[in-house]
Amino acid sequence: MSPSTAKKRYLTNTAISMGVYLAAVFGASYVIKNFEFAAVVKYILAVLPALCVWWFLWGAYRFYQETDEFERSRLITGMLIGILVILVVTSGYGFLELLADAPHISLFWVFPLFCAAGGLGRYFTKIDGEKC
Amino acid sequence: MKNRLKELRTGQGWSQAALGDKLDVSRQTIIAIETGRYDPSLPLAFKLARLFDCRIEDMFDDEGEN
Repeated sequence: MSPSTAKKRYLTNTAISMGVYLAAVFGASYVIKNFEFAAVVKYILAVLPALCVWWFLWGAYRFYQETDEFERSRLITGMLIGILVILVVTSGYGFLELLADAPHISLFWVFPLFCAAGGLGRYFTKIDGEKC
Repeated sequence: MKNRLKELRTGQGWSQAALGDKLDVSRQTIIAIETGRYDPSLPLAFKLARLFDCRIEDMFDDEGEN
């Protein structure tokens, strides 16, 4: 598979998985708040957005395998920046919660923050195309 | 790392996309190598050298690199 085809597939997978993720987050919270379910059903509904996270990450892993070495390096750099930001922010805020009574923030925010930081990392490793 | 890739590519009359297709890499990769923002792996450097029928050291210049 050519790198451009792999990139198209990765971007399509990212757009679809993130769209379904948002729908699952809002859909599951609406349904759980407004209807009565057995605990097991609530667990299944609540876990649906996490499946979309897996779907997105699987697409990223497939892109890693299918693309060329430079795009692979950009992907890894973006993810590394995402991981660094997540570790710094979550461990820092964890200590604030533990020692300084800062208000609790849900772990739900870890993935959106990872995506934002990773996206920023990819943006900064972008090469502006010069005209031939 | 400085290199002569752009000079060699334009000498053949190839676009960045065409060279990328010959090497099975993206146009972004060619741009990154030409501008010195990315140093290719050894296998890719060998592919480039074979394509342009020259030695790797004729294409890449590590002078001034640490």
